[in-house]
Amino acid sequence: MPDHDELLLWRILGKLEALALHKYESLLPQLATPEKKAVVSQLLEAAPDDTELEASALREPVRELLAAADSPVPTDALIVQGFILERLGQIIYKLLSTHAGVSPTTQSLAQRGWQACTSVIDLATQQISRQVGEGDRLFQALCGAADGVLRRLDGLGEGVDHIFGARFGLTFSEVLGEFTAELLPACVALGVNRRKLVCHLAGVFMGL
Amino acid sequence: MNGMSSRPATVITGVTGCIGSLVAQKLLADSNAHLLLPIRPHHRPESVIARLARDLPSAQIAARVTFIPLPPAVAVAGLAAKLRQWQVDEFIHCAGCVDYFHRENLAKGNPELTGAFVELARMLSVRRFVFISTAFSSGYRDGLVLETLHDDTKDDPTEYTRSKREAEAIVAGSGLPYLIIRPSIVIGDSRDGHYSGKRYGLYQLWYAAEKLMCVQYVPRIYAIAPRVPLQVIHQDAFQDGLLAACREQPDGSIVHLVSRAESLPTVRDVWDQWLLTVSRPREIYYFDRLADVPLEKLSRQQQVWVELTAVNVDISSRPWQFETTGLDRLRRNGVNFTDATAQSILTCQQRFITGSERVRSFMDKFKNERAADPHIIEC
Repeated sequence: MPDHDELLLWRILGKLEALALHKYESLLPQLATPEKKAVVSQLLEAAPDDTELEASALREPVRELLAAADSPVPTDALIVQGFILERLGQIIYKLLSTHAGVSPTTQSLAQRGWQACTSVIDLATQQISRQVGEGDRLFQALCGAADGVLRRLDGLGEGVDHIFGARFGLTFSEVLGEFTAELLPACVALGVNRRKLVCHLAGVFMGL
Repeated sequence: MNGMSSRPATVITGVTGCIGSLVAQKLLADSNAHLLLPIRPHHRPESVIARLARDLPSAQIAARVTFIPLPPAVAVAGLAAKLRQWQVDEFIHCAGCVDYFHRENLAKGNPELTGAFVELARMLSVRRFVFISTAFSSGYRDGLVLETLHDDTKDDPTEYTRSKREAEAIVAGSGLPYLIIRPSIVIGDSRDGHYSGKRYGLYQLWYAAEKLMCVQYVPRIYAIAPRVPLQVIHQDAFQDGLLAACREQPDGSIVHLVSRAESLPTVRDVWDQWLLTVSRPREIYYFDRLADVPLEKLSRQQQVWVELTAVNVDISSRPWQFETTGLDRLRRNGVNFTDATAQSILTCQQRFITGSERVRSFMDKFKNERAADPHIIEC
């Protein structure tokens, strides 16, 4: 059975994933895949309330992240949810799916979560290329749509390290490293200038 | 409000930011000017006063400043009627946007906003318009960077430098008497390391090290650390240089506020100071350029670390040579301009460490793992 820490992580992932699914269903229905719906359903069923989260140091950073990610603009949702936060979720699921210290239930859920994120990222990348464009056009759109969310990730750092660092080996620096290592080539493949993007990410991640 | 027109007033824009607040602090401490401070509605005057209260008590500051609600750039000219209640003598325009590559924000925050304030200053027939630009507004170019307006270049470090160059041209072409100040990268106070700005340059580097390298002990660290001067000035030097330039430089001047090249620490010095004080890995791999790093051999975390930190010092670590005719003259006339040195940067670093529980915890927690004598490998 998932323990207290696992359920807290499930709740956080559930809230983020539920918002993503809501955005997809209302703005980008092609991204509301059956796999994503199944993962969201399982997360919310297993960790249905905010009691643990409200009592933790992550309460406010998670609330701010959710607020920043809640744009009503379809292209913002495409970039923020489909391209940025799905990638973040993918990395967290990947870490959990192979972690010896978590329950088999969490490992199994993480495996399904990773697969669902991977599918949505592929679909979103195609849509971004069509709807937003590539190269500098995409870079400018990324800055406009995603900066608020990326800045809020910085606020999660202390809490993540404190709560999940020792338990899951899930440190902010590892997640940020993996996330950036995934995001950079994905953007470069869409024609974004790597140096510009690195320079920009350094600013937003380091709290400018 | 009675008698408000009997003494001159100075408008300072951008007072909620680092540079604007440094300018306001200096004028409050070393002049009699009444300060008119346009601020956006979401900023609270009490917070601004609290920030300015470094050398003077808040009550004294409150009596010397008047806050003006700042409208969007298109409506800035509408402030003329209100400002005519004072005898506005000078504008010191510090507001701006530093989003390095966000063209839309840069256009709004630099040329457009500067144009709006220039127009307002013209309507008020001010004696002079002072514009705080950047030493890097030249973009990359060979040889000495002159204290003149720059023509366009195709090689800019960022869109930011281009937008500052455009804003300089607007000021110089306005017909108003002007003074353009071009500081290099402003860092903490040389005396105690106090820093009031955002995490740019050196601070971004230290913050990255705090965030990414102070969780677990990292036995092997890679860094881009060329032995070229890091172009920084202390905030107290900026304040002293600015005030002296305002008092002594003739209209139409452009002044580089930069530390003497021979005193500046190199990027390598800065890395040595951090890695040998805080991280103390077993092995340090130093490279001159990002292109020299075998990224494929590094872990993903190390790859990201190297790339993110390399961009922090990218602009400032080029071999810049700035003309300093204006500053040399101010020095001859007695201005106290404290150059940045390896030792003064260590003061700032120590202040940063003292203020970071994370860094102090790291140093304590891993005191047995941290190497006494890290092996340095020049690559």
